[in-house]
Amino acid sequence: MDERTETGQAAPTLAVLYERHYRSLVKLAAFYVDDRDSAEEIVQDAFVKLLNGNYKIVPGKEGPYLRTMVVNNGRSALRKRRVRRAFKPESPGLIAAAEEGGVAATEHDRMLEALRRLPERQASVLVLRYYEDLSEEDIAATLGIARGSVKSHAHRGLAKLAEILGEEESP
Amino acid sequence: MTLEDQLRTALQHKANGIEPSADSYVKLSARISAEKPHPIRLVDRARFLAAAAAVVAVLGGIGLYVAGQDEDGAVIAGSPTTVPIDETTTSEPDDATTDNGATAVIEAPDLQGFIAGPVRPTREEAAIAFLDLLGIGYYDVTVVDNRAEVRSSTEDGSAGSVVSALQLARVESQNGYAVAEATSDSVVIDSPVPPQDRTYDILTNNEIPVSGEGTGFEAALGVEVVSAIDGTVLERTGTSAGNFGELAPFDTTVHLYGKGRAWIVVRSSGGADNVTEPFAAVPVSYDAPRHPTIYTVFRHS
Repeated sequence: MDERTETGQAAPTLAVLYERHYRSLVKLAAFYVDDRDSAEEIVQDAFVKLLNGNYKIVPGKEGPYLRTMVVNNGRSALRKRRVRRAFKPESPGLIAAAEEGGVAATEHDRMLEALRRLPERQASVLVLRYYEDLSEEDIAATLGIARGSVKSHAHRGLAKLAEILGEEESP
Repeated sequence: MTLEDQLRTALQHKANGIEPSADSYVKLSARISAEKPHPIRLVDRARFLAAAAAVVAVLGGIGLYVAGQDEDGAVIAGSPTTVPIDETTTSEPDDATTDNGATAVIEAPDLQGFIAGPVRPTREEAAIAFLDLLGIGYYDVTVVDNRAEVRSSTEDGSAGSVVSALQLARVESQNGYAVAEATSDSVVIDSPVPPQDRTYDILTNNEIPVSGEGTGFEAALGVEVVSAIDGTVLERTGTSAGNFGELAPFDTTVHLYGKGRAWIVVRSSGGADNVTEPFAAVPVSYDAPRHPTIYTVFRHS
């Protein structure tokens, strides 16, 4: 059953939103947390807020809204995880773990591990740019920052990645 | 292959390995149904809260009678102006409870050098000393492992929701505990980053950018620099973020002069009086140029 928005347009149902966005958002959330369950929890929190909260979303903008919520919640989770890791022995996370099946750490793992060492905003910009393929404008809207900041975070993030990977290669 | 291509490939490779669980739609649908808000009229709400309090008190009494001394709880005394809530209302996360129901306390690791204080012999004392230092009014503090949840007072003087959480850490050199950071769902400080994420130890500039995301009544946030030594407010300013309930970025600048340690505190506002507001805080250590002093010279004629 569709509910009507203020503009009279039909708001998409849970089934429609789930079909359109859920899977891709879980993949996005997984960049921030250690396991699939946590990633799903982040995404479900966003869905619950969207569908149960008193938000007035412009029809058609549910996707960007959910993505922003997921990124914000993911960053928050990442921050908490970093706090925990600063005080506890590191446990191998999803991003850091080697590929399942016993394969040794690959170039991908090294890249993702390096990405995880970046400041969270730089990492978010790079994920949204190189995984989600968002424009600078969309990244700026998702993270709530200026377009210029997107450019500078991306530039600094890539430079830092190169530096980290370079350090690892040098003996 | 360029670095950007490598990054793109690595991200895609990682994403390919993640799929939602088979029952995710069922779970999501159930959550949405279960968490759908049911508005309660104010008059009914008061009756409901009174009835709920009575039930909690009765069940708590029974529980204490049956369980004997099962109350080595983490709830500690409330603010001097309010009455602490019943100890039986202590909430524990699932992962802090062992099989036999006893609380499993995890030892706080060392803060490793960065101490903004105050350092106290116990976690509870450290949390309260921190709140007192910052002049934060609160209703009660619940300590579970290394996290202290600060619960607000409400306009009618009862316990409200959790407004902020304090991350506690061990300070081995002083044989005590201290707060490392305060976080909140309503205010997130991105800069300065918390000590454990820093690549620097001491700030050497007078102007310190303070940024992050927050929400507050009429989009207003309060920003303070509080001396970690004696709680003196060194600077007080304001900034704007998202209107009440909506997170949006904030960006402002505070100033540090000379040498010392301080807490940068960002407070949200719910627009109500006598209510503990959500806040976040990060400690900084600084050794910056001193404040330019204006000297008045008197000359004898």
